[in-house]
Amino acid sequence: MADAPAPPGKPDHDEKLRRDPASGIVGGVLAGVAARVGWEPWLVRVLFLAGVVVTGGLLLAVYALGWLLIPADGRVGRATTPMATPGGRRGWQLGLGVGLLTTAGLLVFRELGIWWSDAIVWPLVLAVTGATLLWAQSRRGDAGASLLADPGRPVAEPALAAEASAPASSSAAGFRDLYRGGFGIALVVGAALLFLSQVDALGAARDAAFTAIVAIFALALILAPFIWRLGRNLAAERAERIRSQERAEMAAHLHDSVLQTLTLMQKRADDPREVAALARRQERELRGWLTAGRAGAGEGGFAAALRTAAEEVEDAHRIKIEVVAVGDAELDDAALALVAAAREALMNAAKFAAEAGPVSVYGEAGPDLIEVFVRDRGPGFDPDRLPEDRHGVRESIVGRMRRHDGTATIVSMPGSGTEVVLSIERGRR
Amino acid sequence: MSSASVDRVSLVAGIAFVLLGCLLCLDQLDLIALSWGLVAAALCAAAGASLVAAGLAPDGDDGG
Repeated sequence: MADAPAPPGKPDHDEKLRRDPASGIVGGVLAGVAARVGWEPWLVRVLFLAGVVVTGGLLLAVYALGWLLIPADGRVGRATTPMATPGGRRGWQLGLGVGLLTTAGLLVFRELGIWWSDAIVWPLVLAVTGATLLWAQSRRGDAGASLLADPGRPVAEPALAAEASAPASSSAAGFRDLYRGGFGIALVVGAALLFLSQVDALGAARDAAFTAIVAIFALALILAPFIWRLGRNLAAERAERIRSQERAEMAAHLHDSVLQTLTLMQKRADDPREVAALARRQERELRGWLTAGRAGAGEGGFAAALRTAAEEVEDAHRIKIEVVAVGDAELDDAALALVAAAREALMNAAKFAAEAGPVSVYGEAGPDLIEVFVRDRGPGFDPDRLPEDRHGVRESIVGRMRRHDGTATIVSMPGSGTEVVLSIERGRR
Repeated sequence: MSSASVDRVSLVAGIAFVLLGCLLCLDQLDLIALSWGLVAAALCAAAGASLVAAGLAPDGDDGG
């Protein structure tokens, strides 16, 4: 199990534990451990050999487990040559071969008398083998492949590339996974039963608690990889949800700012000074948003932000907006989202109801709730028949409020004006 | 046979089983005393070495 010295120039420390087949003699496990902990490889090998003798060969099983489970690094070497498809015949040959060699080593130690007990070692070996199978199965799909998945594939190589491009083999792969998982479970359960039988605990009622503990231990070994994978999936799902929300926020902001300004610039194309002023204002706003991450953050409170938004819409669309703000609140994420949604409602009112009289906005910051009411006397519309391309109402108002756990209600009938009611809890985020 | 055409899997398997045969011969000649445990260990080692060689062999060198 000794490994050759590391080549010059090889990094002493790695972030993750990787086998180093290029520097190792057998599987490169000890060379990888030495690189990970920053020790000399010979020291790790001496300690390992001492541990093998002290544990009666049990460390051999641990070595085999490491060989099968720890992924190899990406350097070219003897054991990193291209192999067969993941989980194919080569993987099984290697896994079975390592298992047989480990068994041979254990038998030799047993014959030499360096041995703990048949009641401990053999069940432990069975349990380790079963757990190895289950862990190897749970790791299928990870880019960092283990020896069982693909003995020689470098870590950076996509593990599932071949499988993803071969949907026809998914059924066979499913049966193989089921078989492998079932075999692993059977090994772990068998190990637990063998151990209980060896210690004569199966038939004794007084040892029921002991039996339960061992059974729970076996169950934990079986379920651990699945629970671990479930956790990883949940984390990935949460990350994807956050990314999706960020994308929606960015799309809503671009719609409210850049797209609206471009529309105004088209309308006022005959006035170059006005177009230049609009472009400068939009540039300032966009730069500020990109630098600070969000526009208006930390600038005054909710009431001031609402008045500023109304003034901006007044200036841009040359309409009159009556603003009433009662109470005030800190301009946190929730209040910012509320003001942004109100600004979009004002923009809509300015675009579609400017000719029908002044637009009014009423904001109130209560002890628990912040509310904004935007009213116009325009032609109105049917909110249930909103066209699909109306991202302003759909995303910048309703979607934005929903993303911040607030509500947006639009009350409108054709010919009777529109009222947008926005509300959100204070300090929600 | 040139060195380029050596089948490493067959070579390792052959050496392993030749050593196993030698061990059994020595036992039959009463030069050593093999227990069943040691015989089992030798069998496992021979089969394991052959399988590991096959598993580590590059494509096209799997012993047929």
